[in-house]
Amino acid sequence: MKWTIFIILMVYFVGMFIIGVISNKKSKTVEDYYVAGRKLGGVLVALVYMSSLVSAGALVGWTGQAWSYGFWFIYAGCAVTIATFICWRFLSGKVMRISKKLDLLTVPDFLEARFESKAARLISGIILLVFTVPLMVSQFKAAGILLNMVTGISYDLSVIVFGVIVFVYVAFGGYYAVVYTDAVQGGLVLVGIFVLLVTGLSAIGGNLGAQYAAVNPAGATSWPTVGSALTPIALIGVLMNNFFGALGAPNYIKGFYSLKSPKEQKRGYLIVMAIVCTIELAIVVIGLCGRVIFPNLESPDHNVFNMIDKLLPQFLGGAVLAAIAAAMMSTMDGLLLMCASTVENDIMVKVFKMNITEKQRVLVARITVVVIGVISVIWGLRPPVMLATLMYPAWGILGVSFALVFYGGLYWKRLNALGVCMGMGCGAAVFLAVSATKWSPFGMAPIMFGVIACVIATLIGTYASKPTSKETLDKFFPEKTK
Amino acid sequence: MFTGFWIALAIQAIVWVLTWLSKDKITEDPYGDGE
Repeated sequence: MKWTIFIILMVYFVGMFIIGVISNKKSKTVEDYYVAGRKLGGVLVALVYMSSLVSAGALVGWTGQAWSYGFWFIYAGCAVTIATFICWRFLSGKVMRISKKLDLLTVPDFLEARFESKAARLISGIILLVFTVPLMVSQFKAAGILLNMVTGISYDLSVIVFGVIVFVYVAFGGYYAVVYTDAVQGGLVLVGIFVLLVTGLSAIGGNLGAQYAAVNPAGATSWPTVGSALTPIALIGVLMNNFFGALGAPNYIKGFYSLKSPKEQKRGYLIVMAIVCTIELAIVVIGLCGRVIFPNLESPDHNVFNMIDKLLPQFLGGAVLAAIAAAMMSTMDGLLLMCASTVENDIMVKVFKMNITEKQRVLVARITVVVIGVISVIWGLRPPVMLATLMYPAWGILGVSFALVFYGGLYWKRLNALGVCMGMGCGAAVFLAVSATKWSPFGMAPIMFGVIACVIATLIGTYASKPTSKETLDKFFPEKTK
Repeated sequence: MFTGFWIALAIQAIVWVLTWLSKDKITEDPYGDGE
């Protein structure tokens, strides 16, 4: 075992634990617990957003994909950047204002308020749970592999340790804990990416293009060609997954609920975009450098770990590994809290009308976090087959469903309850069916079918039923007041 | 370097310019709340 790395990781874990316990004091009401009292500044929201966006999938998976596919994988970075821009530009202000005005706490709250439909709330809650849990399990799985590789602790024990830390701090501190830990984690992730980029570029010594072409000629092109690891249509599927994931994933949009003011919103917008415009390409370049340095790896996912192991001194390696652990935790904690809020707020309190006090609600929310955390850890130990196939694409289809909800709900007056329910339901169902059967005519990806089904079902449902009432529409689409 | 790399770099730069140009527009109040 490498003790320096082990100690750095343990210090980091203990630090996260302490932050969670301290945040406990701030979470007194349900509003505190779920949206940090809507008092967050732009810097914090930006760091939370960024650290949720850059998950283990990005730091380990993306660098691995760039290692394996080639230069043309760089467009995935552009897809995420464009989607993030659209998300902040068109949703941040409206979501911040409407959630404050109508006292919305969760994403399904928005659905019921905009579409006057309990069914819409329930369907969105179910979709959230079905597609978010695989995302969480994928992070637990990656965490288990990471700790196992680095410290030698068994995979099972690694998953349990990681899980216990995350769900204890989320259960204790709620969204405040998520925010403070994510801010630290976001900073660590940025440092980690910077260190890996500088290390990679200095190790190859210059002319990345020519050196990459020498080890992987099929990837040294601007677009997939014959012999490339992906066909052009498969690459479009990958780009769609990334684009829609960043465009509408509810765990990102929910961050807008907690923004304090328009001034902070603007600050957050500039910080997020400055970071995203830079790091999305940096992550891909790290993967490309890795291929030049380590042309033969057992698995592309080992690229980053090899860079840490072979190129960095132990102290710096420990810090970068803490950054990877941070990337996993920061994605996981937000997802965990979102799942818990869906169960407690949207299903137990709003659908089944449980009559409990504010204090009891916070307690129920904490218990829900622990229960969902335990289930995710158990699945993380032995991921069920269906769950494993859903892990990566889950992000994309979740994004498609909730992009429809938010962009449609805020910019398309005619969209109504039946349209949004049919769109979300059919999109998700078709996506699941195509994923399960592995049906792929012309090499099309499941997300393509999901998007097509979602659009058609939304149009049919919307025009087959009455619009939302004028009273509700007036709240969301007021006449110009200036 | 490949054309694709420069295209990607250009896209990132364009998005940043668009961000900068729209930085005041995003704070507009569509609901007339007076904030």
